[in-house]
Amino acid sequence: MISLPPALERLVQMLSRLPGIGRKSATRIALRLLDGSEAECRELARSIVEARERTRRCSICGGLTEDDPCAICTDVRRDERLVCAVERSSDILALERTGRFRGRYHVLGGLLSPLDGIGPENLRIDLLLERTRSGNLSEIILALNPTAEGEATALYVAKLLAPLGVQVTRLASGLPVGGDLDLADELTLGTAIEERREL
Amino acid sequence: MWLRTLRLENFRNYERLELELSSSLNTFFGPNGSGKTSILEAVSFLAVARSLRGSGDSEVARWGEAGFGVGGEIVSDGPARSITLRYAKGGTKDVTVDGEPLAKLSNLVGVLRVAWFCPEDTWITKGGPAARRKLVDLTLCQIDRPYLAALSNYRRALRQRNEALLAWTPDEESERVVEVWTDRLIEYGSRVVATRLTMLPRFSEAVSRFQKLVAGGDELTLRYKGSVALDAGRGGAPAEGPPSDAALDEDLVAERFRDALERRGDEERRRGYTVVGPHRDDLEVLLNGRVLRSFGSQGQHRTAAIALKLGEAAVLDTDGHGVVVLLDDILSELDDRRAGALVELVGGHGQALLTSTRPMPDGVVGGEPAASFRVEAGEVVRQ
Ligand SMILES: Nc1ncnc2c1ncn2[C@@H]1O[C@H](COP(=O)(O)OP(=O)(O)OP(=O)(O)O)[C@@H](O)[C@H]1O
Ligand SMILES: [Mg+2]
Ligand SMILES: [Zn+2]
Repeated sequence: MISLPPALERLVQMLSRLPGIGRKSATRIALRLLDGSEAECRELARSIVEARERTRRCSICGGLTEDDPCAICTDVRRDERLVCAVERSSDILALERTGRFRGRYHVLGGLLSPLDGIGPENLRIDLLLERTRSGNLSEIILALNPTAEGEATALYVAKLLAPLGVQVTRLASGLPVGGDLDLADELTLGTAIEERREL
Repeated sequence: MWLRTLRLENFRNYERLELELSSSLNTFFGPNGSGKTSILEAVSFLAVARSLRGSGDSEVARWGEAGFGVGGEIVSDGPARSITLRYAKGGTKDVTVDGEPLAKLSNLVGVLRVAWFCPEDTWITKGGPAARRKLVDLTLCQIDRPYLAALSNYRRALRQRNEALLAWTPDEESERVVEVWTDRLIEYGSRVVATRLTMLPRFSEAVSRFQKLVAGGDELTLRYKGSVALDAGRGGAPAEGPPSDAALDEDLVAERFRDALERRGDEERRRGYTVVGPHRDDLEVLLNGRVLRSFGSQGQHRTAAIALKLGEAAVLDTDGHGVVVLLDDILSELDDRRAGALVELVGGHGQALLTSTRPMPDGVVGGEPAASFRVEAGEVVRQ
């Protein structure tokens, strides 16, 4: 078997660590990059580093942003008493695409999973409780995937929110079971958020 | 529904194979180690995306090859459907139906239903509860997509809850974590138990009917032995009568399940794992009212296994969906008369694939048009 030249091999290995990219696609991408100009490659490398350096987590919602607090948390036209709790920051993008939600967000940063050693202390649950207490929130929508982990986390958070007197709701069913908010189409997700129900 | 063509690529000792099958009985005969069972195993991949012989995916790939492929064309009332399954070592299994990739492997289950008969089936009644749960689960998963989802969610929730119990310390937060997993366990687990209970009468009826056909007078019955006491609950049901509809049953099961978990709560926290639930339940097989496992003779186990498997095939065949019966090497243990009777019974469900080291004796052939194949070292020739 013929192996790749060392530097190219290293690039293929780095690329194949990315989600959804196997060795085959990694090799195709790497070869395509070598076909392009050197300027193009520098541009790509620079944009990766810059994105990494400039992007941080919003100290309020936990979403990705360059300015802290983020554009959503500082947008006065959005209802600050209505907060939608999500698993990851990519869920914010999915919900924003529906154009049907005009409140704020809270990224939990994961789901409870004892098998992976993820407990409440690893999630941004305390920050959500603090936000609820100090922010005079009227409603919290738990927009978590309908998987075992998503449902367990929703119940956990709801139990903690119950004594705080805030209304807690869930997305309406209709999302594919075990499905990903990320993958749900805009119409389904938009309907799910409008027809949310009390937990 | 039946399988019209079967294609193999780098599967066991087959480099390449393409077969046209008959819609009734297909017999494969040839010497030991020639590749007969492998053909049935390939069909099991098209049905449930894994080996029903119990092998891991990587063991199935032809020695020295990086993966394997199985394809087939399924004929039913609607248009014929073509399934392709590909496995690459260290990578993933991909399935396409009519050229469309499936998002989840579990979406394949139920398109082609199979019942697998083999000599080891006697362990269903001889062995522990796991083998009997497997029989029930494999049957239900093929006819009931929501059951498959509930079962895999249940297994996931069980592992999560066991981990939470193992890490449990006597404080509020730790207790709350266990509680939310208890809630999941009950939600999925009660659906699993209720579905099993709903299917049981049909299964039991079919099994006892086949037992009579195969063994004459002996009465073979099935009884669900749950770690969650359900019979007691039914006695205490409201005056309108026992709950009969499945949705109501599920609520009742959930209630009983919660009670049982509460009663054993201290023990679970001490031991660090879940001690009640459908993962510990049993399907008792009774011969003339006695638990067969503890007293059955070799012949009684063999007959019961065949009745159970025929019962499974009958349940899989409900709503006229059709089932492909895979009979691996089981005629060698029966005399010609019994073998003939079995083949006849199996023929009632439609398509069957049967392996044997000898050609079928005269008179032991299913309805026309039957096909007979000679297998020799990875080559298959239609006779
Ligand atoms: N991964 C593999 N690659 C190549 N050959 C294999 C592989 N796994 C098993 N074999 C061989 O393939 C042959 C076919 O096995 P199979 O179990 O299908 O035989 P069989 O005809 O059912 O035999 P028997 O009558 O003994 O049950 C055997 O010789 C076995 O050693
Ligand atoms: Mg064999
Ligand atoms: Zn923010």
